[in-house]
Amino acid sequence: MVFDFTETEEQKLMVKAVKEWCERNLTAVRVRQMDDKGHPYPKDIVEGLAKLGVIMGTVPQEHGGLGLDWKTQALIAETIGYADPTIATAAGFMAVETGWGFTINRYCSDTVREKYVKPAIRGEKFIGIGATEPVGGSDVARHKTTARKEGDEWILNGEKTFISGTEECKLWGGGYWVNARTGPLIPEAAHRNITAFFVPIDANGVEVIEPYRDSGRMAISTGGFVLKDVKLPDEYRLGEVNKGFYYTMEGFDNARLMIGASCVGVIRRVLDDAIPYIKERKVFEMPLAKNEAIQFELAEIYMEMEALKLMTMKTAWMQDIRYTEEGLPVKVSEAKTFKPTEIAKWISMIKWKGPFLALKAAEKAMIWLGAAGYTKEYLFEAAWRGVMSYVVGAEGGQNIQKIVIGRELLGKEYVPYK
Amino acid sequence: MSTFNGVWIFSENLDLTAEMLSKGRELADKLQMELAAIVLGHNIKEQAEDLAAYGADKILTADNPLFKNLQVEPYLGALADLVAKHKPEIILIGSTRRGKEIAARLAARLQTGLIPDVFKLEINEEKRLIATRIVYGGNGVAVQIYKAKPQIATVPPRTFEKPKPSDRKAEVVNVEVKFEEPKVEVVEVKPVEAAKTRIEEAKIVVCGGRGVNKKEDFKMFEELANVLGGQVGGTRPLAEDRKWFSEWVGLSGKKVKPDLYIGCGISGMIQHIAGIRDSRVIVAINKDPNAAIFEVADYAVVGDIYQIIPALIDTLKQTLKR
Amino acid sequence: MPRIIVCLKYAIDVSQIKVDSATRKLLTADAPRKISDFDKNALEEAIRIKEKHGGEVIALTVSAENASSALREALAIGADKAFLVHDSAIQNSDTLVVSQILAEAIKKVGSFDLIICGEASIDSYSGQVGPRLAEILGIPAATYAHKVCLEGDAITAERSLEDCSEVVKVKMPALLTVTKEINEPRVPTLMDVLKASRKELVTWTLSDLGVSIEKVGAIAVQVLEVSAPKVERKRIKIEGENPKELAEKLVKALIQDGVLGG
Repeated sequence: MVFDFTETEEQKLMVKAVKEWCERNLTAVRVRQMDDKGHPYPKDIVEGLAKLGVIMGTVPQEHGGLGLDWKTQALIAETIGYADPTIATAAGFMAVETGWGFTINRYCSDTVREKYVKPAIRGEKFIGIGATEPVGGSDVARHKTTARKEGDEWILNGEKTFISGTEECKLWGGGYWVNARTGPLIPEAAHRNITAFFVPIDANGVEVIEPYRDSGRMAISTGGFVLKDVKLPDEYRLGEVNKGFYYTMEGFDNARLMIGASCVGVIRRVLDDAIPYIKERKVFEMPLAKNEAIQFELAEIYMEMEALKLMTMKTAWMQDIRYTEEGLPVKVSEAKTFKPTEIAKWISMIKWKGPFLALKAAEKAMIWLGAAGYTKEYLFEAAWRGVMSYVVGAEGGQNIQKIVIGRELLGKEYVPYK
Repeated sequence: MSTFNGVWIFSENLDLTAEMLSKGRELADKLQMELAAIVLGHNIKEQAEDLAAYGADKILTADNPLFKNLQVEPYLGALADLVAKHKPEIILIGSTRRGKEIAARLAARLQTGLIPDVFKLEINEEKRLIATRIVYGGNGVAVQIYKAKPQIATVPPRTFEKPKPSDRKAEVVNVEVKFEEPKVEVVEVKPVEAAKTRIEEAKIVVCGGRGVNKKEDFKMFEELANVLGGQVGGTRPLAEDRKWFSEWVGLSGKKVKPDLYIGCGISGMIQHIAGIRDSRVIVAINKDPNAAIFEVADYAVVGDIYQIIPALIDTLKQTLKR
Repeated sequence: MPRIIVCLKYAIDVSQIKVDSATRKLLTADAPRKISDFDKNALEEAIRIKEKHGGEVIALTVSAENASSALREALAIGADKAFLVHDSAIQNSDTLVVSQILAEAIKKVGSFDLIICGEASIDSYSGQVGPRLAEILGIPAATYAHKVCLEGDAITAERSLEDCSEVVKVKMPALLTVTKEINEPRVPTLMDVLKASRKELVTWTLSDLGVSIEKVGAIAVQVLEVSAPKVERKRIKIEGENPKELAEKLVKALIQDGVLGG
């Protein structure tokens, strides 16, 4: 084993550039305004992020990205999570664009790449993931959206709910990754016979539903759309027919990696905002920070944050090896250094840990600061409401993450439900 | 090597020269050397003579149209020439932007040391000049010594007080100096615009809080800020609750780090304090003697802001008037 | 097509200096460093001139520490080439010595049309190096420029002085020092960072410049000590019979503190 935790000179400069850009454009005042005002997500920030080069940075240069590795992209996600602890930018917008966008790019046709992926990298359009349905989110394999082939076209029918960014997508243009059943449902193998598609938001038959009144991550919308006989040319299919489930798991891997990294930034920010207050504020003629009760909680959160960071960077490193070794997703039997299921276990670990720890950090910060921490003068409450989105299940239910980890530790036969 | 002798004072701004003469006198007396003021300008004969009452032993003056536009080369040439002839031990130069440039070029030409923007000057037991100044953006105080001569320092305005004019007058000497042609052409001189710096970068900030009755009362803070050359801000309740402003100074608003902060009618809630704590000097004026802000102030004035601010404006106008 | 040399100081990040609470000594040796703020304005202005008139922007730093990361940043921001004079012997140099080393480095870099410096460094705020350098190189200078314009073989600069804004014209080769009001330094994009690794960064020691240790040791000023100013608020109560007396006492105290410089 070789460990080198030092950032390269290039990574340092990139993180510095992102940090400086955020200090000028994603100030605390702006973030508070964004959260207070709510969606749609501000276009000027998107354009700035695009110019910086952070949107879908891992997409290869020949496809319009920068060809960055996931370790660097994770450091960038952390930096943006720090700047906007409501997580609307780092996760609500960036994790979707960068995690799912990268995966769409791997399986899409040149047409979809030119019309949607490249414009999204330039900050002109929004591309996202439309996974959840009214019947449920976690049970991906039993979703009801269908697609049937007619000549050279596919006809899609179905409904997606609790989808991030629908208002932005409608406003700016773009589309969604949509899975549809394209073959018979095999009870013991419900994940088979699902095909992934890219559905443009303005395609005939797509009806965008009003966004929900979310409690957090206010700057980005959560809505849905209905598909009524939506006709898609075959070139809007992503990857091979009936293989969609595997690609979706890969998409979740990439997006969840970004969530974990963003949470490291959120926690760092929460601590950086809380610490000056507890050092300064005196009660019983003593700074709050001198109380062991507070110090001990701070120490615990800090330890866990650093553990989360190490886990996130290791996971990013595994993803980099995976993508370097092969261009297409590896079938389990052909795994090289890391099996995708091994990587999935780590992804689930950081996806579970990140949001819960960020939630705890925001809560504790409020409690340490007392009434002052409860006010909107600080971003703690906005951070709490924002990361709660990922605790209640955005990008994957928290308990599902534990099922994944359990499966890897105990074996497939112990999975309680499929 | 011929010995160095003399404490010299120079500025293109004669008021500043007068201020430096008070310190110059002290240094010259300690070293038992002559104190001379160097006056270079165009049509400055009368001003040179006025300066004679402020404690110098000699006024060395040169009058020439070349000095008219206050460019560097004529001053530099004249000073370098005088220094070569007379070898002063110490030269104090007024720390205006022009003065700093002249001083640096002079130091380079003479291959000697320059310590800029000093706020304290003393002679040590070895008869060397010790200079103290602020460094690291206000985070440090540096005490420095010279290893070459002449020992040159630049002194900012109002560091030393102008001496009281005395009956003893200095000898005014017209000197011959080498004149160097300016290498920079002055195309236009524009009056300075009140450059709107952001309050976060302002050197002086006046803030009003809940102790202010009406929004219109902020006029007196504007006037105070104008006299001081600073900016005005308000606390958050004035913005959020009273809706007088859209911005405020405080933790969740603008954080200021001026040399001087004056808080008027501000109780000192921690959210506001967090926005001002990097101020170099904090003055608080409040009629409540128990106001929390007094805990973090350098100067506490217990009183009615409606009486004290006008009095402050008057006093400042008198004091700062040149 | 001007050839512009920008002098960048690898300065102490003053916001990160720690203090030894027992001795009140400033622990500057371990403090992180960065490109001095006003020097970034200088670099930005040089790049803007190049964008308008063509030419080349060269970044130059003299440092006792290894400042290559800062120069790589300068390349990312937009400099075409970077030169670093890195030698631990520079450790206790003063502005006299640093200016001399800079002049030697500039001679080795070659001909130039313009040298641009920040008005002063963020850590020392001495403002000497620019004018000293101009004097050593025998070129004219326009300091405290908040606006700059190239016309033919001359530079027109608007200087920000206490009592006026002075517009001057100076023939190149010349030296400029700029204020932070002149521009807003750009943030490099990630693509700029990637491109920077392919740009040239040359490192020299003092012996590469032919500068001897004796020459370096001939400093003209020395720091005896640097300590932290007292952080405790004075909590002085201004007493008086009436507002006028209070005002007078307060103003007197503020003048003594030196905060009414304006």
